[in-house]
Amino acid sequence: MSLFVRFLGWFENSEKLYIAMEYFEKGDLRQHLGERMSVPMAKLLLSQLLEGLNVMLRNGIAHRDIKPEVLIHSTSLSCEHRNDKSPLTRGTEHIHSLPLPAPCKARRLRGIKVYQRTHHTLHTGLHALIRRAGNPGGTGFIFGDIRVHLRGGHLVAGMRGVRGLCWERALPDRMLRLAFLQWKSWTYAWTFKGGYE
Amino acid sequence: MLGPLKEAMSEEGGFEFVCGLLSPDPVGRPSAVEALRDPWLKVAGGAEK
Repeated sequence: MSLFVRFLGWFENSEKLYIAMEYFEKGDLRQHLGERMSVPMAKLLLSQLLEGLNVMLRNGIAHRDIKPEVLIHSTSLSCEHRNDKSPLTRGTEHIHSLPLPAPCKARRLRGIKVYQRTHHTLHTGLHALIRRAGNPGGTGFIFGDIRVHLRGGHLVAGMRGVRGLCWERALPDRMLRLAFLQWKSWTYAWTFKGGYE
Repeated sequence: MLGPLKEAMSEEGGFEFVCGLLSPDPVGRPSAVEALRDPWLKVAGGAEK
């Protein structure tokens, strides 16, 4: 079981930055704060959070921004609440957070000169989210303050809170395909224990 | 101030654990390792894994 979200890669065009993260269909913890949660589930999530925190600390990493928005899970908390005794999801609940401080990640990526342009963006927060397909928000990624959504066959990117930028626009399908091709080619065999440059 | 929390957690336990996490003094809070070793957290967390 991995406690951390995998970063798959990114690309940018002249206007936008696209980042691909591991897929988590249930979103982040903030979306579920209003739901009742069973005590066993709360214990499990808390244990996984502490385990992740412990791994980070052992590696000399201070996250600096742990919050519900950066904690991502792969099963429905509400479903678990309704089926406390069901083995359906037992043992499969994962809580994830991306632990890397931005400067480390920027140095680790290829094309340092280019990637350093993302430094300030990544620095604002380390979290990723892919909304479940079919949700009003569509399928998307969140990393730092960047959001990339898939709506009606179009890739919609938004950037908020980064140097005052706030924009959102649709991309043609060919750009969407290009994005996925780039993500695929830039997939990193990155793991938490891979070390940093 | 933590009375309502204590009451809410009366059945499931864990009030002392949460109180420790809420300590105003950072030194008084458990580390991640110490928190993971807490008996209350281990009961269900370990059983469900």
